[in-house]
Amino acid sequence: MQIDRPFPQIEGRLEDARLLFGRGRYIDDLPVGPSTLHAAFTRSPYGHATIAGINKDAALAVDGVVAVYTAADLGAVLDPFPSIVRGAPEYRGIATGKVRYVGEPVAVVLARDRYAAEDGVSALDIAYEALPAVVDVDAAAAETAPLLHDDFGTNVVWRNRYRYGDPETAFREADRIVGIDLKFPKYNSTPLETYGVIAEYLPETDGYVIHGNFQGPFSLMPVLARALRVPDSRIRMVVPQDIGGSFGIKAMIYPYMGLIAACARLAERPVKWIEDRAEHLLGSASGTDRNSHIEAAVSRDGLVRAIRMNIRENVGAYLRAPEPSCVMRSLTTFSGPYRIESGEIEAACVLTNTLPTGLNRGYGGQQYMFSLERLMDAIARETGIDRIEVRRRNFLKAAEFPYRTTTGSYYDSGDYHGCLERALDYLRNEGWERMREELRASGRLVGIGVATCVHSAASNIGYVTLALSPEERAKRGYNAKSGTNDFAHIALDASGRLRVQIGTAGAGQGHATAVAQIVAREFGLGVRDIDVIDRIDTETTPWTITTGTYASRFSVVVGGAVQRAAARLADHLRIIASSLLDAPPDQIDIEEGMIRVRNSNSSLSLRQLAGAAQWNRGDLPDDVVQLHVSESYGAPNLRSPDSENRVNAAATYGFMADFAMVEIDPVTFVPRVLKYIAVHDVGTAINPQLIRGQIAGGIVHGLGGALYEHLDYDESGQMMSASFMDYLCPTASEAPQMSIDHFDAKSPFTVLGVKGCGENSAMSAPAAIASAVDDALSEFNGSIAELPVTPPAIWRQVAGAS
Amino acid sequence: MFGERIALDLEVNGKPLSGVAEPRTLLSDFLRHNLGFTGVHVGCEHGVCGACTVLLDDQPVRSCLMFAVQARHHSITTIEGLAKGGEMHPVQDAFRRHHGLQCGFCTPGMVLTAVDLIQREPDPSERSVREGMSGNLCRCTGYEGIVQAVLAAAKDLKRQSQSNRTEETQ
Ligand code: FES
Ligand code: FES
Repeated sequence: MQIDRPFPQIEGRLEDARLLFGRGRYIDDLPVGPSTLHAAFTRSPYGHATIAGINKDAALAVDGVVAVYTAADLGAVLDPFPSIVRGAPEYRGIATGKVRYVGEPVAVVLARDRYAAEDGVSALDIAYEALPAVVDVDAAAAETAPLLHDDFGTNVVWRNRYRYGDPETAFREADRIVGIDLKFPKYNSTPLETYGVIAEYLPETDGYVIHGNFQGPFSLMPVLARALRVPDSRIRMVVPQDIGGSFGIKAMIYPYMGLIAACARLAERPVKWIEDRAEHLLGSASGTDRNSHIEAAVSRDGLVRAIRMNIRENVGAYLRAPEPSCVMRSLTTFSGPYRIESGEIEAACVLTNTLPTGLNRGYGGQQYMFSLERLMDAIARETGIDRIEVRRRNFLKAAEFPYRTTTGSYYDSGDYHGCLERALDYLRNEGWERMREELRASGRLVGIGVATCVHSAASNIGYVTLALSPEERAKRGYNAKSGTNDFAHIALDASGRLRVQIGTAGAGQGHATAVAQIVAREFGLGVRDIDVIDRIDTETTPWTITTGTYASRFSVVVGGAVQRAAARLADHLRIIASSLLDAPPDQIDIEEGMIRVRNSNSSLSLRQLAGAAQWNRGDLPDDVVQLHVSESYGAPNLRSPDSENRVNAAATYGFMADFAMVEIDPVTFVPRVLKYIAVHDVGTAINPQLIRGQIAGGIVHGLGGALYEHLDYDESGQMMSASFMDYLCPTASEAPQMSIDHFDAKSPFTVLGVKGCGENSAMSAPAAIASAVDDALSEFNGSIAELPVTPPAIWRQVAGAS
Repeated sequence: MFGERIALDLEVNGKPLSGVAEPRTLLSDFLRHNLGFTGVHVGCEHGVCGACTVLLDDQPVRSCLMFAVQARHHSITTIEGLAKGGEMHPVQDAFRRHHGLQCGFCTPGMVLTAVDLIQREPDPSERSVREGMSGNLCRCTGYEGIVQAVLAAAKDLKRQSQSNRTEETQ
């Protein structure tokens, strides 16, 4: 039965009281027993060096230190973590023989408490012989570059070429070819809470219990299980109730889960490790930095017929799962919101002496949106067509959806022109252009920038396998991959209260609130009438390989499963009620906690129904109907890649129209984002407040990457930004005034009509801000090709012009 | 020196408490792990993020930059002590109403910093709220909800104190 009511809303969220009273339960808040040992890592001070010797004696002599383990010890119980690319250099999470980046774990000290463990780290005696390091992706790809993995013979760990449509003809026939070279920087979205793991080995079952603030994807659990040499189900993964932000980075905790679990096995005691901030910046994960060339075949009227892109992706010292997926988002939606029917992409992943990469809010999105949007601005500049008009001309039209792109992505719905127009309304109503002219008249450097991008969400796990060639995927014995799905469980207890369990652990997104809204709508109840369990214990929580909080998939996939479970439970309740009330099920409505026979006075409460079904089961005729239901939902249209590398990369495709206003101090050249407009198509909105919150946070993440945050290395591989003193996160003073709105181009494919929206402006803001800086520097013909946009970078543009 | 333990008495959230700490034990660790005030969060341990902020004799301090022994005979307020009788403090309630929190990790430090800010400046402008809160990092909210919440809380507190004053004069 189809329920058609709006989602009930509440002020605040179900999660808020717990967090505001200081009763959150994060990993470091969990109680541990007295036998628990505390771990601290000894990390490499060198970017590249041979480990000449490790002497544990002094460390073991420290009061409170119980054990010191190196790769040689851990190797007895821990294998390398399998990689997506066969034959990639071994990745063990801890240095073997040599160190390859500053901050790489070299040894683990276990002690009575963390203070003693740190004493052990200071006492540990390790001799290194320094080797030449290489941190720049192009330098590392050169034949003469120092090799990170000697046996591998090259630093280019993966490369592939993709071709869609007919790029040759398009370039041959182009009226104009516009090309640019770009550099996207290395940063990570640094959740405020660092990693934490508490692990225990259970010899009776040869299994592990691992507590950790792991966000998924659970496709990494088999990777971990393989390394720990146990079947997947022998790892009981427990994610605490609260995670202090994740942003993709907390997918990459898995090597540390492996290392700490291995320590616990060797020490025969539980082991706890909480990462500190310096460790996080040096040794967790980051997004990739990318050097790229992108060029377009353009017609006289500014239409882009084809794109060629050459991507050199810096994956750090190891190519670890799920890399090289960073490239795949850039590949599968390379045409963004534009009708670009041909493309050729050449991509290489290169190893350097820097922190290995992984998911970072947007994962591959910010990198390619930066290139594509910089390219659109360049096309506007070279053709003399207005920046916004160029975009409008190239947009897909509302009537064309659903639209199959040349890469196989199946865009569900959209009204790009309408959504952009809504954003322009904000711009006009707020008088942005007038403000720019006034500020310029008073001698200030001010500019407005634009980015219009597609937000793919709820990714198809199959897109990862584009890393392999079609021939490899066609081989016998190869297991194809596709889809994204998840579970929900819902139960009516004997007192008539509904309880829902989901398989994702959020990190502040408000999952419990959104789930309660979906269920409350189905049963015509209030949001607070629903209890939600949104933490994971794999011993009891249903989960799948694609489970997890990533790729903006929650509302689409988990929301879909919850909706299905709720609807099916409602059907069961109608059947039970039909025998109690003696009416056909399709004549029964459920509303406000009551079950009523339509057009009659006959009714009973949820509580009465639950009581009867629980206590008087024998008298009910149908034994199949239940008071609890488990449902799964697999997002539609997601198949494995075809033999021409075409794949629908995601379940939904939202749209983002962003504008940024930037001011540059004319004396110090310090840039500042004054205002930001974000109008995003998110499909049906379950909770507008949560969406606004996601977008506001995304804007500031994108702004951080555009202007401030940089994991910067010197030539020897030393990291220059290993504390919050040097790694600059935007504060409330740097955050712009924001106008945020959502636009509803309901998805025709998803259960709720929703589209994922969690990564949003974290992907588009770097492009919008770069565009605004160009505009602010228009008198100097400014053109930003590299992020972050620092005062020296601006100075170079200004000095270069004069 | 390391092994030495020092007994200390202090007051936390209005209650006298005592404990034993090494001279080098950080106040943040002592509050969290010895006394169980896990609402004190640690985001950087080098004084930048503000997550560990507590009020020491009503002044905001970064508990990761103090040793536990320095809190001897002082009175501390943590987030756990802000609500009275299960009722949210107006600042907490404003954070709830204005979506001033997502993951909640920065929240205890944000709320306590805001309490102090409003005490010093009962009628703050948006600019001074942004400046006043700029010593605390939040990675989730983009500060939108936080700034709105602090502005709203200041108004609420002002209204409250005005109505209290009217009651007193009646
Ligand atoms: S933990 Fe104390 S300021 Fe960050
Ligand atoms: S709410 Fe997550 S850091 Fe502020």
